[in-house]
Amino acid sequence: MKTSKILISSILLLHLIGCSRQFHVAKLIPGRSSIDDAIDRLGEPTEASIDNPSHQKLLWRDITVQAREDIITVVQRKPASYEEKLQFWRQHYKGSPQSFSKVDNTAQAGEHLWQLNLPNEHINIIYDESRDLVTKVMYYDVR
Amino acid sequence: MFDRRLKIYLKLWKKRLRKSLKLNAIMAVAMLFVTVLSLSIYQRFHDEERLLSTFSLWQYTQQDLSPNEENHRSIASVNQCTFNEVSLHQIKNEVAQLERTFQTGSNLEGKFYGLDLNKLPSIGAQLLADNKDLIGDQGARSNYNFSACDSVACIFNELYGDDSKLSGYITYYWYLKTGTMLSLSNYVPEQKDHQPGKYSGKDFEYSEFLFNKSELVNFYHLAKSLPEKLTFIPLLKSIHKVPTQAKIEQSLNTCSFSLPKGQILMHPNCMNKGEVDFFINTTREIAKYADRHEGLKLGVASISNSKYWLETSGWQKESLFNPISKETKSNWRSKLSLNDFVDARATKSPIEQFASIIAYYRFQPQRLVNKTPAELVNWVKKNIYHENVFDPSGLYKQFMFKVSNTWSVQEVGIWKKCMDQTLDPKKPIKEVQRELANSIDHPLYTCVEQKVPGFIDYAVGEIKKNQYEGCEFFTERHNNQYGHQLERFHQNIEKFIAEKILQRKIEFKRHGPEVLIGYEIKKKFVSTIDPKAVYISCFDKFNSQNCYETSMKSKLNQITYLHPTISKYYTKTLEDDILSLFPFDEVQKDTNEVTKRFLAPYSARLSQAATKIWDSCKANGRDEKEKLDFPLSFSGGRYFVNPKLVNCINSSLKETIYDMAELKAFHKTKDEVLEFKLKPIEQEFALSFLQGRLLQTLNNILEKEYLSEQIRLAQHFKEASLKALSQFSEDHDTFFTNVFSFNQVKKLCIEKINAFYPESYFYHPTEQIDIAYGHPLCEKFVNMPFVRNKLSKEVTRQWELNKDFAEKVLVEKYQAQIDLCYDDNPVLERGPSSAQQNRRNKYRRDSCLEISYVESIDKALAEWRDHKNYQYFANKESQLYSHLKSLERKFVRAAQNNQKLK
Repeated sequence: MKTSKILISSILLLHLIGCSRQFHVAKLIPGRSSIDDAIDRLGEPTEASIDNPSHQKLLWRDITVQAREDIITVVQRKPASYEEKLQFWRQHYKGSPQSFSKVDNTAQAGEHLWQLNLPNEHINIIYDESRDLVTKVMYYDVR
Repeated sequence: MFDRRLKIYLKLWKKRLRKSLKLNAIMAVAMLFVTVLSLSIYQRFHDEERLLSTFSLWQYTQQDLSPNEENHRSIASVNQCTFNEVSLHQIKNEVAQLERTFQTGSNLEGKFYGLDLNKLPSIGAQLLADNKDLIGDQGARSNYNFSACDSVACIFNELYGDDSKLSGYITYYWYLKTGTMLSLSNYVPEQKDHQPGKYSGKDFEYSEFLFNKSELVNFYHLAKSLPEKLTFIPLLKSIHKVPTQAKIEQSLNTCSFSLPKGQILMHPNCMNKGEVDFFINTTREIAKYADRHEGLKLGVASISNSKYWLETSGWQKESLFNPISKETKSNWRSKLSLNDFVDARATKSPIEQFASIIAYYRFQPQRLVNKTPAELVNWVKKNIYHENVFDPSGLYKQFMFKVSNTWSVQEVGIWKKCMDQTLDPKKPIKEVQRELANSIDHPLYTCVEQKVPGFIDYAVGEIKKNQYEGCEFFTERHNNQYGHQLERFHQNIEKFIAEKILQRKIEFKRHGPEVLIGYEIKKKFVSTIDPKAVYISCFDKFNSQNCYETSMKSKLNQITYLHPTISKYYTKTLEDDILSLFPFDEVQKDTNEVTKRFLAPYSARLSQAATKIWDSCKANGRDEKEKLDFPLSFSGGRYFVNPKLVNCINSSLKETIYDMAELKAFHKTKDEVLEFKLKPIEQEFALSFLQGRLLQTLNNILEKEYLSEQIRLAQHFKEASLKALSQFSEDHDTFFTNVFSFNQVKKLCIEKINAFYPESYFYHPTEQIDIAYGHPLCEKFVNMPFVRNKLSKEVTRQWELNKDFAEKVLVEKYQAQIDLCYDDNPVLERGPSSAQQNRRNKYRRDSCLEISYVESIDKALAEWRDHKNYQYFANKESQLYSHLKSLERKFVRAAQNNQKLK
């Protein structure tokens, strides 16, 4: 009984931590949030290159942030489990214009990567056809 | 004291038994249970059939072999070597032997361009039925007539136009060995131009898509070299040749390429630079499918993308998105140095690295070991190659194992046969033992020793026949590469067998009858216990090897229990013997091989079943409002699929498809039909090999369906657009009466255009059809000169009406203001001061009338905004304001002169 209680509470705790990270990622809005906001919310990045102001990049375990002059331009995250199939995105945004194209130069690496761009939503989805998996969800700002 | 107590208890029990009915009943049930249990245990020991796996039973029936039969029938092939040249006679024999191992007893009805499929062995018939799209010139298939052929190879040879007949046989041999097709089609999967024979923007002859004879000979040798894990990969379907003068469309700078839906494309540049280069390039592509398949078995999408592989190789992916150009750049980076990669392709990505390691492990092991982290090499060695090594000393070990293991399997039979020949069965066993103990050259020993050279010849012949390096290894003259290892082999194999014989002699001396019993036990074990069945029962356990070895020992103990005289020491010897006779890795490999053969014809049935499901789900219609049921096994890959269809296919997958495809085989004899239906655990094991195959089949169906729908939609809208435009142009009431803007008409058009959409479409959502076809069509409609003209008139008319309305409101509002201005500043009747007063009042009234006009415009505009047509003219508010303002002078003057406004 005691063990199951501990187990359930640890699962809940882990879930809460997980939720809070997703919440923080969602609060990073390309075009509005800054690099500092990202660091405040996600902690210190594992890798960062910010010297070139027009191509700044910060890496966390599960998140990549691209920025320009300290303002976030792209937030890349891993898909949630229900987002891992491209069908989800195809259906969810069936009313929006969709542009589906190959990601250049990945064939030489033996990969079959495609991108589903939703220009009205400012979302770009990376899909690995060999593994039938969405590997990245990118939110971007066009300005 | 204790005895007395026991006696008292027993007496009390007897009394209670006599009195209590309930107790009697319990005792009766207990007795019955014990009896049934004993009987079942007894039957378990004696029922030999039940201990064999269905796969083995099926295999033995195909080959007409029993598991312990001493089989030297292939001895004729001892001196045949396939290394330097391929003989038609030999390959014909090999094909015939392989065909037998696939017989499932089920016949396929139908014809293949005039050839009755019923006349072919089941595997050949299934090949033709399953791969029609891969056989022949796809632009001229209707001209074919193969009614004069009696075999699959004959059809292939007709297409190759090969008089030596080798090409057809090699293609068929490759299929039987690997489960994949060497394409004989001039349609390359996913080619840009849908016309067969047109590739890379050029037209090519049919023959340029066919592998030539030297390439086929390389495939023949490769078939003999691939490890079990690289054959019958359910995700791999076919290998295609790209013409010499073309480039692979998807990847212009590479000479080999794998498509996600199971096809490998090979350019001659990857095949004409020597045999080893050919082997490495082809194996690398095949290994990419093994990457995914082995990954699926472990619950990940692929091994090379698993956490273990990425961390061990220090791979990291960098993806950067450019929001302006909407382009993504994606690169892999590894922390390993360039010296840790076996070749340049391996540096590109984990997939290429994984596949390259597998290819080099087999064909250039030394280079691999020098240029790849040992941990990755060991992973491949254990998980792909069943611990086999292919450098000279590795081959020596493999061949030593093969021959010594074959000796261990056949040893019992050889000794038994010699015993029957040399020992007198009437003599008491003790006397026999004494005779054997006192003589070192007893006829029994001589008989066994005489059989050794024949046995070695046979075993070496089998290696030469079945293993690519076999011939080169056993070449006696000028064998620079393997000479040293060959010498070692001869010395050690003879030593090994001599030692084994000596060991048995000593055992005879020391243990006497025990050895004979031991032989009986071993013989019984070999004939009744199927290591494959034991492995299958352990395949999904956490430590399957430990489970397997424990189970094998326990099975052996079940037999030794029936011989209580045997000593513990000798039981242990037997356990060791059995485990070296049936080592885990070998049994795992053999079981996988036979299971894959059992399942090979199943793929054709699986594909038929998948098509049936697809069609029946489509018959249920579509519903775009249905929500997807997650998780999705079949996801639709990169295409949109109507949610109702996706849900239907997924719900049908588990329950129906395996029942429809029937996982069983038959064997027909003269009198009866034997059925081989898999037991639940075997079914589970078998399905682990089909993981991904079904999804691959469904994805291939979807690919075809999507392309056909795309073409159908384009054709449909070509006709429908003309119809729609002409109908809309004549629909005066809808489009040309009471319309106020071009946008309104466009919206009306979009609402109405649905009626011209096709009745059913599953792979495009209506919204995307709107975007792709509906909206452009309506744009075209409103911009047709005739329509534009007509609309302009109507829109102008409506604008004028709307303007009039605003003007009318303005007049009303202003008139009310005028009245107020006059009331507040009246014209007085003539009096002493009236002239001056009237002058002042007129001045005030005029000002009031001027100011009121501007206020009236505001009021008129406010009311105008509430008009039902305001939405259409809202963008013209400033224009309207200017118009009303332009009337100011006229209206104000009229008001000041006390004239009517209109």
